[in-house]
Amino acid sequence: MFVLNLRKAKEGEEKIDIYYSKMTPAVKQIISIAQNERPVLYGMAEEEKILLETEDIYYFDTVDRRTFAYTEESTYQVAKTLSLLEEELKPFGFIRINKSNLVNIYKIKRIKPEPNMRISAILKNGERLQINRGYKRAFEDYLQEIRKSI
Amino acid sequence: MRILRGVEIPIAICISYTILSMVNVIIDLLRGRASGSHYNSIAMLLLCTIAVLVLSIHHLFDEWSPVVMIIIQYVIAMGLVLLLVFISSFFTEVSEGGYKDIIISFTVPYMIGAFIYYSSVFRSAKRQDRLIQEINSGREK
Repeated sequence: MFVLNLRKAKEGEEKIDIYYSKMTPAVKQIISIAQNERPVLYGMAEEEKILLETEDIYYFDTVDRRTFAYTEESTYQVAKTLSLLEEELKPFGFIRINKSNLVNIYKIKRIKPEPNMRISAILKNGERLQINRGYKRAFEDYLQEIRKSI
Repeated sequence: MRILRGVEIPIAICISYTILSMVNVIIDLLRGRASGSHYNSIAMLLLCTIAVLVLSIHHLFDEWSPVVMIIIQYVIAMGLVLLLVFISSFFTEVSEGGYKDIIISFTVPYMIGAFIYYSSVFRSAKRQDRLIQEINSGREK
């Protein structure tokens, strides 16, 4: 239980002090929000609820209406739908590349055409995801947008 | 009439030319002045309709490899074209080697189209890869 101490500050003097005895998921969540305004995302792995850093997620996958987040070494089930994640995480480098995958473009190593005319995104962990024709244009437009912002 | 822009202009020309030509052909047929060129015009319209309809269902194969998609669309289109020639043989005589000619006339432009599509996929992948490399190097700086 936290003691909330809220005060109105002058413009330019806004600040947040966090006093904690243990780095709990709730504290992490507060820090995460304060630091970069990223949406909070929890993942379930072996009955354990873990706060996920969206920067660490390579991609999301939907299987049988369940959504999974893939990091470099682990997989977590998340309680949000792919469409919702797509909406929330678009400002943070995530874009839909096929019906069931939402990829973090900062985790893509290269884009490669396959002999069967498909286009693959090869991730930095060596995994390969397919970019479907229906999503190709939106994907390229998104890359253009990100490149301009860098 | 609203102002037409860009690609709308050639589309409007194609539509109006097709309507005028077909009206002309139908009037001539009703007057009993049918000739080989009239039947050819109708056949060309039907061929174009088949091609457009078959190509427009490409989204149904989005999860499939483009090679498979191209082959399936070719088989469907070719089947419909041969069916068209077969049906037309009840109304007009199909020349010797007519089936062979129609296969060649349909296959050659289809293959050219497939090649253009194939190279566009490669160009698109190259463009996307360049953007990814630029984004990655921009973040490393």
